[in-house]
Amino acid sequence: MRSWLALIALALSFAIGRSARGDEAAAGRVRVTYWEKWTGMEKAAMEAVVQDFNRSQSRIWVEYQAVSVYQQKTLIATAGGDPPDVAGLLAADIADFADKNALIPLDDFMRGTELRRERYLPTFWDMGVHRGHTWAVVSVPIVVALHWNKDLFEKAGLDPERPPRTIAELDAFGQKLDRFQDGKLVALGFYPADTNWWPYGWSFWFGGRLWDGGANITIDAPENVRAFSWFQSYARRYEVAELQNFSNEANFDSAQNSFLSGRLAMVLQGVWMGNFIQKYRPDMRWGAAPFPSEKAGAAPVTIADADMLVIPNGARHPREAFEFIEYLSRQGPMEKACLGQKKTSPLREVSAAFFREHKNPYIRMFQDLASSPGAMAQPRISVWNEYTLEIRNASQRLWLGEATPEQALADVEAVIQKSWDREQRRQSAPASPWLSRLPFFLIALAAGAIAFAVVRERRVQARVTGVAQPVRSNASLWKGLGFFSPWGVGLGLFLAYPVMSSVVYSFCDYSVLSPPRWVGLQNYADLLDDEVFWIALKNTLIYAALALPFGLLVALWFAILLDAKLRGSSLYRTLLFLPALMPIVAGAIIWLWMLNGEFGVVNHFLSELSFGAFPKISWLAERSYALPALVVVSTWGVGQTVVTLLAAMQDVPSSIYEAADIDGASFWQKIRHVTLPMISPVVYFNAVIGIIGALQVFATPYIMTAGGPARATLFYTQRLYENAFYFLRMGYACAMAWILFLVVLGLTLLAHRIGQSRVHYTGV
Amino acid sequence: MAAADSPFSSTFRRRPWTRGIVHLLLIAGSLMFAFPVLWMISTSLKPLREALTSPPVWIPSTIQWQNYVATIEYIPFLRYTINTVVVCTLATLGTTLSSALVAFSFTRLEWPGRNLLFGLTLATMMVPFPVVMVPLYGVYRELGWVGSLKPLWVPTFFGSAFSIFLLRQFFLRIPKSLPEAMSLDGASELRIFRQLYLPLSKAPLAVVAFFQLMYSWNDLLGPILYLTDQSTYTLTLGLQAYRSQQGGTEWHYLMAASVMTTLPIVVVFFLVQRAFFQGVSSLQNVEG
Repeated sequence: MRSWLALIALALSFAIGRSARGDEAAAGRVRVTYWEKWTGMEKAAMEAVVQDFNRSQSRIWVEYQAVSVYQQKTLIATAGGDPPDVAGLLAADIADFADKNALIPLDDFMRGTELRRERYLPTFWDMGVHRGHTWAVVSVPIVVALHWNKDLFEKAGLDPERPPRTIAELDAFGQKLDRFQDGKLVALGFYPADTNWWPYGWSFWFGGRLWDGGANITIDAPENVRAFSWFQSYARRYEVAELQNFSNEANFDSAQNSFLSGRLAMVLQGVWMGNFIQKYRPDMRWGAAPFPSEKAGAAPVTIADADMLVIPNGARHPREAFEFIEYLSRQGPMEKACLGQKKTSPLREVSAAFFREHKNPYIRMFQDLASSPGAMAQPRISVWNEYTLEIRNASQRLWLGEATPEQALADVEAVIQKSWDREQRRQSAPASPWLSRLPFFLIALAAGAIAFAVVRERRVQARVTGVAQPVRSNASLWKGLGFFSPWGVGLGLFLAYPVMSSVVYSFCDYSVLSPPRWVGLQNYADLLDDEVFWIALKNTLIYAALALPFGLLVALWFAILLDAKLRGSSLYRTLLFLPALMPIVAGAIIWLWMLNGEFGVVNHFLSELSFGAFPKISWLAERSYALPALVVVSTWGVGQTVVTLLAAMQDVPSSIYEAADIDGASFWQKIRHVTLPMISPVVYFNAVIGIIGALQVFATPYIMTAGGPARATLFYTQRLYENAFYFLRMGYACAMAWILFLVVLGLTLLAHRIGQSRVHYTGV
Repeated sequence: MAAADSPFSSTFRRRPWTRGIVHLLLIAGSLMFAFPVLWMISTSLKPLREALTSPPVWIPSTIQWQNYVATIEYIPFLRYTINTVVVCTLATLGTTLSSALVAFSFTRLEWPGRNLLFGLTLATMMVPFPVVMVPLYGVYRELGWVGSLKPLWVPTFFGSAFSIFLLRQFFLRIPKSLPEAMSLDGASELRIFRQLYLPLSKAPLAVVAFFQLMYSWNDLLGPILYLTDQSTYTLTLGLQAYRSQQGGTEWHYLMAASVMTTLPIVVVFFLVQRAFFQGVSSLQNVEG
C-alpha cells in the first residue's frame, strides 16, 4: 500500500514540476488582451514578439491568449460588449466585421506613426482597407507557389531545374510524370484538388475575377469557366476514385502526404510547405516557382492571404492596443514574427538577415511573388464567406462530375448575386427600440398562457371529480411547484430569455454585431426558397431515419447479451462504453484516419477479410457512402444507450422470467413479451433522446467531412451554424432553429402517440 | 443468484454451449468498439513518422513513453485537470440533486399543469444550442460570470432536462402502492422522497451522475465560450493546443493527451458501473 502511495506522490510531483507555468507579474501596467487563433509554432513565434514588446516599455502588458474557434468567440464577445483589445482575424473576415461596425478604424491612430501604407506591400496593406478606412493591419502574410519534386522530374526525363511555365506545360509535364503499374495509377504528376484549400483561386491564373468591385458577381465570366473546366479536366482524365488516393485533405501533415511520399510530383502549396518537407523528407530535392498561368509570358500570379490584427469596437484600451500593433509593424519585430512562422514578410523593405536566416531555400522567390502586382487578394466583399462555401461546393460537384462548369458556376452566381443584392439593399436603418423589450413581453405571455392552462385543468379536474379541491394532499399545486422550483427558476433565469430572444431574432435581420431590425416573416419566406436549407433538412432526416433505428437495435443487441451476466461482463461493458467517453475531437479524427481510402484501417481489414476481393473505397469522398459511413460512426458511440437499457433490464424481476419458463416460452418469446415491455419506458426515453440528438447532429460530421462531398453530408445544425457565425445572419439562423424545433416536436409527439399504446409503466 | 435472472437463464441451463456463443459475440462486439481506442493508445506511443502510414503500424517500433511526458509539459496539464475536476464535481452534484427533486414532482405528485410543464421541459431539449448561445452569453455577462467557471456548473443546480426525463422514467416504475402506504402512515412528501424514492433509485441516480460527469468532462463548447483566462481552462480546451495550422499537428501528442484525458473517466466508470447494474433488489420482492 505504502509503495503505491509513494509512487502516486512521485508521479504527482513529477507532473506538477514539469507542468508549464503561466502568469507573470504585470503589476501597474495597462493590460491589453490579445486573442489569437494560433497554437504550436505560430503561437511561439508571435509570443516571442509579444514578450519583446512587454520588455521594451513599462506602461503596457500584452497578454497573448490562444483562442479556439476564434471567429465565433471574437464575434460573440464583441457583440456582448467585452471584446479583447487586439484580435487576430483572417483577411476574409475584415469586410464583414467592418461593415457591421465591429471594428475601430485605425486611421486616426496611424497619423504620425510608422504604421503607413508606404512601408507595406500594397496587396497586403489593402486587405485591411475597406470603404476608404483602414480597419486592420496584416500580421503575417501567406503566398502560394508551385512545388515540384526534382527527383521525380529527373526520373521522368524532364529537366529538374525547369518547372512548367504555362498551364498547357503543366498538363503535359503532369502526364509525363504519371506512372501506371498493372493498369493502376501509382504516381501522379499533378492533382489540383489534393487539398482544395483555395477552390476559388484557379481563376487567378486564367485572368478571371470573382467580383467587379461593385454590384456584380462575376463567377460565371468566360475566364472563370475556362479555369474550372481545366480543373474538371483532371477528374475526367482519370478515375475519381483513383485520384482520391492522392488526396491530402485528411493526411496533409503526415509522411503519407502524397507529395511528401513521392507519389505526387507537383502541388500548389504555401510558403509553409518547406517546413513539412523538412519535417518528413529532408532528403527530397525540391523546387518552388510561381504557379504557371494560362497565357505564355504572363507575369507571375499568386494567391495572397494574411492574418490580420484588429481592434474590436468596445475594446477597453484601444490606444494601448494600437501601440502594440504599431510595434509589430516595425521591421525588426515583423521580421522576427514572420521568420518564426516561416512565412514571407509583408513589408516592402526586407533585411538581408531575413533572407539569410530563413529556413525556406526559396524565400526570395516567395517574397518577390508577394511584392509583385500578381499577388491576388480575396475580394473584399462582405458575403465572401458564403461565396467561398458556394465555390467549394461547385468545385466538389464538378469533381464528382455532377455538373458542367457553366451550370455549376451559374448556380453559384445565382445564389451569391441574390445574397449580395440583399446585403446591399440592407439599409443602416435604426433598430426599433421596442425589440429589446419584446423577449420579456413574450416571457410574460408564455407564463400567462401556462398559468391559464393550469387553472383550466384544475377547473376540469374539479368538474370531473365533483370536488373543488381533492382531499388527498399530494394533489396540491404548491407541493408540486415546490419540487419543480429548481428547474422552474433555472428555466426562467437561463433559458426563458435566450429562447424568447431567439424567437424575436427569427423575425429580424440580425448580424450579431449590429442591433436587430424587424423584417417580419421574411426570413421564413427566404428559407423556403433556399436550396441549401432543403438539402440540409433532407440529409438530416435521412441520417436520423438511419441512425436512430440502427443505433437502438445495436444497443438492444448488446444490452441483451450483457444481461446474460456472464463472467467478464464488466470488462465487456467498459469496452463497449469506452467510445462514448472519448473527447469528440479525438474520436472524429481517429475515424477520419480509419476511413481513409488509401491507408485507412477499415479498408485494410475489409480487404484482408475478403482476400483482396473488396475494393478500397474512399468512404468519406463518395456521395453514396459518406452519409452511411457517418451513421456507422454515430453507432460507435452507442455505449450510453446500452448502459441505460441494461440498467433497466437488470430491474426486471426474475420471478417473471421464471413464470415465463414455466409457461414454456422460448428465448425470443421472453425477449418480446417480457424484457422489451418491462424496459419500454427506457426504450421510449432513448428513442426521444435519439430523435433530438440525431436531428441536431453537428460536431463529428463537421470535423470529418465539413458537409462534403458536394453537401452530401451537410446537416441542419452545420448549416445553421454557418448562417449564424460565418455569414452573420443570426436572424435567419434563428428561423432555421425554430423550424427544426417544430420538426423535432412533431416527431416526438409521434413517438409519444406510439408510446401511449406500447410503453408499459409498472408504477402508474 | 436467482433461478431466472435473465432471458438466457433457462437456455444456458439446457444448452450450456450457448454460453460460449454469447461470449464470442460479446468479445467480437467489444473488440470492434474498442478498436479505435486501442489505435489511439498505440499511436500515442509511436514516433511521429509512424502515426499515419499504409499499411498501418500496429505496434510502434519504439515505445515512446516520453510522448506522455512531453504532452504534460506542452500545456499546464495539472492546472487544467484541477479545473476540470472542480467543474465536474460541482456539476454532477448539482444535476443529480436538483433533477431528482424535479423528476419527483413529475412522477409522484399530481398537480395541475404537471403534464404541460413536463412537455415544456422536454421541449427545451429541442432548441438547438447555437441560437441561444448569443443571448445566453449576454445573460452570463450581465451576471458577471464570463471568464469564470460558473457558467459551467451553476446552471446544473437547477436541473437538466435530460436527467429529469431519465429519472422520471425510472421513478414511474416504482409501484404506486408503496408511496401511498407511506402517505397513509402520515409521511410528508419530502419524507417519501428521501426515504423511498431516493434509496430505490440508486442505480438511475448513479447513471445520471455519471452521465453528467461525462458530459462536463468532455464539454468543449462551454469552455470555449465562457473561459477567457488560460489559468481557468479545462482539459478539453487544452487539447486544442496540440493542433497547429501550418506548423503541423503533433498527432502523437494529441493522442497521448486524449488518452490521458479519457483515462480518469474510464477508471471512474469501471469503479461505479456495478452501482448502475446491480438492479434494485427490493423491487424484486414487490410483486407490483
